[in-house]
Amino acid sequence: MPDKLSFSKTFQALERTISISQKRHAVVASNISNLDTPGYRPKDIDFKAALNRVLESGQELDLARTNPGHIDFKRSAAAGIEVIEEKGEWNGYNWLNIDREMTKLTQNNLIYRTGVEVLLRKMAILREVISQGGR
Amino acid sequence: MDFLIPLETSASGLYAQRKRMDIIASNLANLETTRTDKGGPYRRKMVVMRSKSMAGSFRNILGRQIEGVQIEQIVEDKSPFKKVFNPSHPDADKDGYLLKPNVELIVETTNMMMAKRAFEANIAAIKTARQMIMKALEIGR
Amino acid sequence: MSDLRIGNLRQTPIHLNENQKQASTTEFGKVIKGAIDRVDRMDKAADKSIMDLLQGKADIHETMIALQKADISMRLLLAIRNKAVEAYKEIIHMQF
Repeated sequence: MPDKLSFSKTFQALERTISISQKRHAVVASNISNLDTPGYRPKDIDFKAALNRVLESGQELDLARTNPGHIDFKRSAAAGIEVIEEKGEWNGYNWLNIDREMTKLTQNNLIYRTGVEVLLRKMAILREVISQGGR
Repeated sequence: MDFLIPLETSASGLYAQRKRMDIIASNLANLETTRTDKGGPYRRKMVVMRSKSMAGSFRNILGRQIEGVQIEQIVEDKSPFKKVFNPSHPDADKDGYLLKPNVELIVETTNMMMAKRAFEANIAAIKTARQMIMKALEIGR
Repeated sequence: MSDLRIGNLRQTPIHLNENQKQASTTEFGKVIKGAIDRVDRMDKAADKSIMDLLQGKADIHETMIALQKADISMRLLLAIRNKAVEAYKEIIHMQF
């Protein structure tokens, strides 16, 4: 049956994708709402980097907690997503860039939907096994 | 997420058409301008567009072929200024001839309509690409 | 009349059992094993396809289809198993 490592890795990757796209939506929406703000520096999230950070760290999911007060930082799917500011001179992020931001919004939304749908399909397989296993 | 490359490609088209619109607006606004900082009448501006490759590992061979667009430079139209006989104008030369911008209203309006159409076409392309992906996500629902 | 003797009769069922055993490992056993292997393959392929999708190497419909293949082969395996269990129960309850 599913290899234990790849099983959890896939779920990890999908959860991470969904988390990243949620955060990115907020960042891009903030860019759009600040199109008239003078001196505003647009922000974005490097999707690939944020995703790889989780994938390359390997199966470090079970971090031992020595103090019950500590938070399971590494476990959180939303941890370690960096918001980066665009470099360079910006005298107001003007409306010329609205196309770019709107497109980012659409792309990000599609990534979110993809993550959710793929996760649902994967879970459907599991649910089938669980519901039929008792017979 | 390379299946999203078509959206970026269309987005580059949107940006290019709007910049083009900016230039057209500048040309139209300066239809009658006889004085500029450089001296002399306003010279018509044009955009030069260049295709740019949308890099990505999107099926390697296909990926190199998919190209978006970028505005390479904004150049000035070298065609001669219009010479109009108007001795009462303060900028007329000693013979009474006035140099006017080499901007043709008809040309600019046509370009403006084309820019609008191209813009709308790019929007439609984005919509369609998005719909296709959404449909693919329905597989197995 | 000689083949009605107990000795001869006892031999036949054992003979049949061996045939049956061979038949089970060649016929139905093959089917079950094939189904299990297929599910394993499809599952791994689906996982790989998901990772490829997230890294940009696969297209969306490829991954959705791979997931469907995994889903269907799992359902098929479960159906085969259910039928086998049903058949077994029927046989067990047979009255001679």
